[in-house]
Amino acid sequence: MAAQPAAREYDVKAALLFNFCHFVEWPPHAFAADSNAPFVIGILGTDPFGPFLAELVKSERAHNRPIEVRRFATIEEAAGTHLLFIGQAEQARLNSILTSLKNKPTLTVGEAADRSFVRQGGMIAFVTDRGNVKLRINPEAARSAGLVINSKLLRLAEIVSTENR
Amino acid sequence: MSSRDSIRSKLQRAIVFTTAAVLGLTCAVFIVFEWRGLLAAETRAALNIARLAADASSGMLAFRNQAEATKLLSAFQSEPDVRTAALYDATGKLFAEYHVADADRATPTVPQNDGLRIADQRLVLFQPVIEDGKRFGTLYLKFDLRDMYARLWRYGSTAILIFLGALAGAFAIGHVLQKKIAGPILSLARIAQSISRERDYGARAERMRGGELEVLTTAFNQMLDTIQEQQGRLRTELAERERAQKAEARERQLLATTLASIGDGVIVADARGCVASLNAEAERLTGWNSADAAGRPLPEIFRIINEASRQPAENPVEKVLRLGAIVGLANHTILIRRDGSEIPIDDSAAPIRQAGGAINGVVLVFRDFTERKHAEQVMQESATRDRARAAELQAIMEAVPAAIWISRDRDCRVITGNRASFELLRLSPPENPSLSAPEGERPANFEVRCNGRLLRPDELPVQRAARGEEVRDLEEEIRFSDGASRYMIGNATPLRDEHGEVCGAVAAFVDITERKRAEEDLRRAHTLLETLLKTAPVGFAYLDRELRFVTINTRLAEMNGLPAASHIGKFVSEIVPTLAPAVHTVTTNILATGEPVKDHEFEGDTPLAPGVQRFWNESWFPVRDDPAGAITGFGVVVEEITERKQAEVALREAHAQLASRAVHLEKLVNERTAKLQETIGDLETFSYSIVHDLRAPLRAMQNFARLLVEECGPVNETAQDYANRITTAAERMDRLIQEVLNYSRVARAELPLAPVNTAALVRSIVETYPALQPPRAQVELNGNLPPVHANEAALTQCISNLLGNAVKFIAPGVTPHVRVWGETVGHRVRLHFQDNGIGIEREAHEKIFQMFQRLSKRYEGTGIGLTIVKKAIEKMGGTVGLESEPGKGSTFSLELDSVRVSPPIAAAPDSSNTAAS
Repeated sequence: MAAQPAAREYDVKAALLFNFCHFVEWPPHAFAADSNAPFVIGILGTDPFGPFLAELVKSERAHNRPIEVRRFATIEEAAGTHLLFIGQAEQARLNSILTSLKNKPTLTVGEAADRSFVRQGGMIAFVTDRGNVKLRINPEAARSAGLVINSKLLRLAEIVSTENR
Repeated sequence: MSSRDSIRSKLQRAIVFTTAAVLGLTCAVFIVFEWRGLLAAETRAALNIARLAADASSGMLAFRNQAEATKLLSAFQSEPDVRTAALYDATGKLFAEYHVADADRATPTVPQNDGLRIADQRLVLFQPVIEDGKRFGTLYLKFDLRDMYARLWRYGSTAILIFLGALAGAFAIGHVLQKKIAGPILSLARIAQSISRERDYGARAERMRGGELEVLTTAFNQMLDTIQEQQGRLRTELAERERAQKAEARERQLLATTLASIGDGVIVADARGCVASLNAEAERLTGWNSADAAGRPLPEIFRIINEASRQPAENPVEKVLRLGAIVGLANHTILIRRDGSEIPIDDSAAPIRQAGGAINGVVLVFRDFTERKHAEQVMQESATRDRARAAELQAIMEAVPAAIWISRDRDCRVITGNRASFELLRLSPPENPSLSAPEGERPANFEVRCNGRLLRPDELPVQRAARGEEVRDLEEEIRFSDGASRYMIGNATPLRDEHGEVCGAVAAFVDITERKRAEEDLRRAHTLLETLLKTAPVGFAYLDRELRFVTINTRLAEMNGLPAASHIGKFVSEIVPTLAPAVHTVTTNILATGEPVKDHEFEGDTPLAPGVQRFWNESWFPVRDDPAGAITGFGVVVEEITERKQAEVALREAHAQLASRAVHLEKLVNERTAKLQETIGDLETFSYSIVHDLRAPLRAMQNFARLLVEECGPVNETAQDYANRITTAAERMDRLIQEVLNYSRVARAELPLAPVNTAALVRSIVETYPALQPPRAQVELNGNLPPVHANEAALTQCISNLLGNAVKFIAPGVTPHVRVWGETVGHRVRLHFQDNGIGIEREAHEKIFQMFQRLSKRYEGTGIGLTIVKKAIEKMGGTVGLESEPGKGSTFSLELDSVRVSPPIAAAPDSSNTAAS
């Protein structure tokens, strides 16, 4: 795995990102009344996945809704997103991003080599460890946003709690 | 014969075939159901396992966690039936797998269709892994069904065994049942056959109960009855006729013989008084033969005269003819024979009457009176002799110490006996002791047994002898109705009359009850002795004078390792050669002294374990099985003591070792003690040198520093400062030395203990030191401090040190506050000293009690105070405790014995002196 090119790593991460839809319960008010309204996967900032993610979810459904991938430049645009991937480039603004998403039913996914993303209140972080993609989860953050993470997912991840400040 | 075989085997075959059919079908159904049930259970279990595992694995597939997936699959180790398990991801690629250690590792490279398949004793299953409606992969499980088939095979074979067992049972039952039907028919057939062959109409078919068989046998038997009855009647008639003819012939013959052989003379005369015939005796007496006499008148042949008067006597024939009745001859009649000689006779005559009653002849009977006269005389003499003999016999019978029974009839209906016999049977003379006596007369108070068996009356000795048998040495038991028994032995012999015909029996028996009891006692004692010898835990043997084994018990035979039987007749030297010389010595000794040799120890080996040294404790004693008291052999009682001997040797060695070690240890202790004492001496010397040698230079330093300032005129500030520092340092050194001395004193001194009033002690210490008083510090006594059993001087030193530390180690700007309280725990008292000082880190709690351990360089101190406290308290039998955390103050606790018997505590002593030291 370690020898795989970087693009392959993001293919894997895209697949995992999509799989989160099946292992997380969103509260009913997170969805529009219209049952055809899509399940939105947002990407804030630079999109590392390329067309692969959109290709992956094209014919799939999550929570009985079609899936749509949207890209956002700022956090204000990303309101109502169900699952938001926060790219590494946004690290500097992470604090304000997470503050504005506070208590909103948006599953925040980031990536960081250390625990910083989840310590600051991000919900799921990808960690690339010797070519393997591993997960860190802050269940506390998800719970306060009204999201329920399936125990099967929790079991596979390192659990981190929000840093006390 | 063939008919018997056919009916028997037909019935038998019918029963067995029916049973086989029913059982076979049952077994087949049972096995098929069992197979179906097992397979269904196995399938159900497999599906459940697969569902659970698939559900658990969805996350791992979704988030590509191979490590967790492998861990999940390896949990199948606890399911021995699962041989292989694998997970494929959504694209069908193998993601994780698990094999049983010895399984073939053929995992399909791609998943096949979902579902369950059974083939080749294996159950293969593909289970989709679905979460939230999305498929993430496939779970593959391979189960081994060999266990299940093995179980099924066990069931099957058990069923076949039961089947075979039941068939055997059916065969046996059939064998018994068929007899009930076939038996009677066959026996009927046999009887019919035998009747037709042997014409034995007496044979009868056995009566059967119930049904047609009874009707059949009854009719058959009735038919035979009729035939037999007719035959019987015919036979009886024939026999009777024959018997009548024979009787007639015999009578005629008998009459002729009687007349010929009769001892009296008989003359038959016809109705006219003429002679018809003479028998042989009559011919002899009269001297006439029959032919000459026939037809002549009787008086011619039979001339009789009166013996006294010599006158002719009356013709008896004429008299009978005249009177028609029997007449006797007048006594003293003389018959004049044909040759003229005379013989005295007596006679009688009787008429012979025809069937009608008319007299058609006379029979005259007469005999020679000469012989009879003589005989009468003889008889009279013999009767007297007989009476004497009878009296003798009676006396003998009464005198012999045996019971004698006599029966004078062959049926033994009456038996008499002597007094001993009546006493024996607990009867008295008029009673009839015969068990063959008619009902009512028969005695009922005893029964007779032989070897425990009840004898019937006809088996009793008198009865047997009365039938002509000689009974010899018969042992019998008379058992009375009250349970008591007498044992008898004796003979019975038949009594015969003058013709040699048996006419009764005589039996004589002696009472052997006592002998019997003695024999029984002897037998019991013998059995007991034998059992004892056989089971006793010691070995025993009896040897003859040449030391050959005569008897040996099992225990000794086991010790020698040979069967008991192999010893008999062998010499000791053949069985245990290594013991033979010692045995020879012992037995020679016994033969010489006649005294037993007891508890003699033997050593050697046995055929059981050649070369293995063993030890025995043996007692030999002489056996005098000889009326003269000579020694005929030897008895020996053997006890194996090999283990005890070995233990003794081991014990002795251990003792020796222990003794040598003790000596060594004692030497070592002495050496060490000497060395220690030397060290203590050195230390003491050292302490004194400190006091006397070290303190003097210090004083000098102090004094000269003071003199320098006072007497060398005004010194500048720097010089003043240096001088002060010299003084301070010297003081500190002095204090240090003082403390070391205190410690060595505490450590070395004896501390006599006495009740101490702790409250007064603490108060006096506080009063002594201004540093413990407001405003510099506050020492507070909470409640009453219980008195303790301690050395007051040492305790004063300890408390001074603790209070001194409490107010010394304090954060800058904080007023020291010390709280002192006490509590009684059982027979111990705890004194607590709590301060608000800087506290001590947990890691240092042990260290601070060691000498020269100072935790903070910021605070002045010698590092000996707490060491003294600990040492002193421990010497007084107490303990020191500490609870502290940095920044939260410290609490030191002293635990000492309370004052158990509470003598009135003396008023608080003035302890200010000791507190200062």
